[in-house]
Amino acid sequence: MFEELHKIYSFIKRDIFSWSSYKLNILLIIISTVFGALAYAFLSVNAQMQIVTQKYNMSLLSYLIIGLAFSTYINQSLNVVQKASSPWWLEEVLVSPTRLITFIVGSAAWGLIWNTIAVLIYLGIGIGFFGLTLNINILGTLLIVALGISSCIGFSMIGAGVLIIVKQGDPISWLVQIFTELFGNVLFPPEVMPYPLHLISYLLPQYYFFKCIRLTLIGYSIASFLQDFIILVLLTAILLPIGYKIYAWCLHRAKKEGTLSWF
Amino acid sequence: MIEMIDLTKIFTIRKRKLFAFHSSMDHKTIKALDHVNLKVRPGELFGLLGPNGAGKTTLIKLLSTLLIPDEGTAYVNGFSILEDPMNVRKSIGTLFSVGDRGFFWRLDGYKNLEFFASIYNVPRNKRKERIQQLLEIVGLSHESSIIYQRYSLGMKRKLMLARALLPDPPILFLDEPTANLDPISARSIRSYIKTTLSQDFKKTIIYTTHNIEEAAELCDRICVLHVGHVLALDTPDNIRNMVKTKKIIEIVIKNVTPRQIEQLEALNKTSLEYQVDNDETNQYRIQLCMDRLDSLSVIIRFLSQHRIEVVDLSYKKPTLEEAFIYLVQKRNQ
Repeated sequence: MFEELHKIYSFIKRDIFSWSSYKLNILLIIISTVFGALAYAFLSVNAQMQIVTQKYNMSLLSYLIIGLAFSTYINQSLNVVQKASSPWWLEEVLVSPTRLITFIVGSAAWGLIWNTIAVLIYLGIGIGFFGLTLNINILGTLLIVALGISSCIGFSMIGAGVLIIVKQGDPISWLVQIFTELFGNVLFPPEVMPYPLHLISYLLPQYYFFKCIRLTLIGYSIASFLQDFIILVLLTAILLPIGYKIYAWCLHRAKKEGTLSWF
Repeated sequence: MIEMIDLTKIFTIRKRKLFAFHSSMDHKTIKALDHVNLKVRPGELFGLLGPNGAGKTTLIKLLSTLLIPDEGTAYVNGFSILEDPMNVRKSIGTLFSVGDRGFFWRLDGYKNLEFFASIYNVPRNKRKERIQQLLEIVGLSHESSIIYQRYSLGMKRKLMLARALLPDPPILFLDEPTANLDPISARSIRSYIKTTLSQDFKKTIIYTTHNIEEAAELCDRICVLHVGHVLALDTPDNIRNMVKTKKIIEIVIKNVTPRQIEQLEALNKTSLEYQVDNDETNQYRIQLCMDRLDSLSVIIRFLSQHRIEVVDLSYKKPTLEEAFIYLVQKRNQ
């Protein structure tokens, strides 16, 4: 177990060194993060959306800033396994005595650490410049973030599996990304959409993730949104093993067909 | 020990037509390995020799658990490649012949090895020492802080070899390890593989190469593969001797007349080629091509009777290359 954790640390170290070698890119990412937070904050500072106030008991500014901040986790998690499964190095990692789960977690780790920094930047701007008030339930927040990330990694593993077989074009991630933007409860409540359409939201773990995270950040206990929390747990419990199985099956098939290192 | 039992790998090649889907795809199957049965002994330096498409890399990838066989199985260090792939991976170090993939381009050589040392379970307290030792061996100790994308092809190859040796495994699969290396580096790497890894540390090594003389120089036994079949499996010397060609003897003789040359030709019965080596001394270089070496005694007797001075005499053995071509041609017939 300790050895596996140390391997994950090595993945993080590798990714930090690679990432930090593109210095201009880091600067641009930070500037984009700050500008994104400012743009949405100015957009919402004097605006209101009735449904947000009713359903979440918060201002549109809080809704948008939290949505924007935590969408970094979701976007990253939806693509992490695809990036890790690059044919450029997949064989070299798979020939090592490293468990598949360590490989996936290790590949995701640095991205998630960076996302945490981005979340702090978003929330810091909201609190420091726009009077965003939070009453954070730390344990609940960590739990919900872990569930949100895990469910999306489930999608990512399915997408990566498909990508290993088809080599280019990942319809799963493409579809989930589009659905997240439209029905994911990221920047607007899906309930503003016409009735039958917004029902799609209820099938997505992202919807429950954003609902739960918003409520827990303004001081609600998990017990007060237990139903949404349980659905998030269930969807994660379904997606994660299914994703893992599909990914492992696709790797097996690529090994059978001899196309593991194909582009 | 490595044992391959009826190892078979079939690849399906799909010919896709532009703007067409599954129904119009042509399928073609290629048997990359056809019921290969081989045993590599513990501590053996085992050569895999064969032309392009012979199945060498496929075999290495099957043994490394990167491919799954269609039939048969193999045991590496006693572990099944199908049932216990994790323990197979713990027993092996691999160097593949595929270009310069597998490293992280923005990391320097040392950090790349540091990452792989971790995922190959090299104990943390030994990592630094092991990496420095290997960088020294492959001749990269002065270039270890250069980022990988600035490495030349030869340097990349050396780093691959260092990575294969990182976990200090009992078994090594080296797929053309000296490809892209300059002659001096290649010789030094070959010497390290033969002397240190094979003779001193008794590693079991499967070594694939196109270079026939390299295989002959290094390997205890050689397996000649051709389109997925084992054509020959023996020591380099025995494989050379499989060539059923005529024996060639080269003699340099002095003070010989053209008439005596004609007599020699008649004696040899088969064929004789000669060329004047030195006009002033009447020195001739004669190549005698004979079915059996015992007809040489007749020639020697003739030379002795006519007091013809023999300056040099040599027996030209068939090269491993000739043996290889002979085996492949025989198979194709």
